[in-house]
Amino acid sequence: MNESPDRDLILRARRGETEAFGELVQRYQAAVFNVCYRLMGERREAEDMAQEAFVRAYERLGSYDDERPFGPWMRRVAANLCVNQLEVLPRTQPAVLDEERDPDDPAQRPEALSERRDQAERLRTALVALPAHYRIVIELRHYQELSYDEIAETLKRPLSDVKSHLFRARKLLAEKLKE
Amino acid sequence: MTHLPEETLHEYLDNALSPQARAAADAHLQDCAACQVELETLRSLFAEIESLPEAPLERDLSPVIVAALGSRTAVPRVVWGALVAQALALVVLLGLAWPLIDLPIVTLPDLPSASQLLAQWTTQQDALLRALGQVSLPSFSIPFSPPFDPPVILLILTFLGACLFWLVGNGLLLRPGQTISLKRRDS
Repeated sequence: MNESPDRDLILRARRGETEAFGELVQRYQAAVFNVCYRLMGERREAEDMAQEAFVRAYERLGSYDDERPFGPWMRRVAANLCVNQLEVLPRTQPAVLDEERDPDDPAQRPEALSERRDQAERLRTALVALPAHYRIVIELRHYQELSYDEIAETLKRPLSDVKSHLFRARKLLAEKLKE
Repeated sequence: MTHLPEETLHEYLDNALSPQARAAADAHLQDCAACQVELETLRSLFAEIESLPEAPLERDLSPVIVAALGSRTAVPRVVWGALVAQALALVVLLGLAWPLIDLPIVTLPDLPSASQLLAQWTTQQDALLRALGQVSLPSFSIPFSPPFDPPVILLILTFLGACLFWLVGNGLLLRPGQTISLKRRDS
């Protein structure tokens, strides 16, 4: 069975067909969840933010340019939402990955964790430990592949701030990965 | 030899250098082993960052989102049009009704008190109906003459039009929807 192109689904969603938007959600929910997970650092919170991001996107479908691909736009909506959330609720402690949270789970104990912790897990932990304003520039540059100018536009920050945050974030990340 | 600034190495890998700056950096890198090492270290970091695999999503989010959309659908333009039309109709009605609202204060004539009526009633028990007949309710009239006299049909049509706008507008706004919170699913 042929899948409807994103554009058809978007047009139907604009006419109020929520099921059409549901199909878009199914296509992009994993990518959007991962944006939120990298930024928020907690699976449950990331799921909540992903849901909220899709609802925001639905409400803004009227202003979406359907000549552009939906996926990158959707991921940017999610990133913006997470940035706002991180600004409203600044963390005094760096976010901790869910996987490290349950001391009663044998699989989560330090020795077991250290055995199964691979490069990806190390990287995710290091990312989550970054300050939020560093995490977001890493997300937008490396995972959403935005240019410096696009990041500045998305975050509504000066280009010089974007560059300095990005360079410092990478330096800090490299240090954390060496630990 | 002056080495390339760290920022230049970042911009080099981000493809953010101008063609001239990139050519100059390339020329320097050909002769500078230290900068080559720096660049490769940074390139490895980039590769490591971008090697992070996607985390699996453990459940389908779409049913909750689709359910929530029913209660958060954007208000269509036709509803806003109906609301504006309602507001305009209200202004017209108020304009028409203004002379009626702007009445001089009406003062009622003195009425007999309840105790006086009761006294009459108790002392004239033998002729209650007659006694009641003696109580004459005062009559009064409102000294009002409208500045203009619109045809009744115009008032009726205006009223019906306002009712129609009201029903259409509120009918669309208040159509049934599900109220589902997206926040915190503890299940």
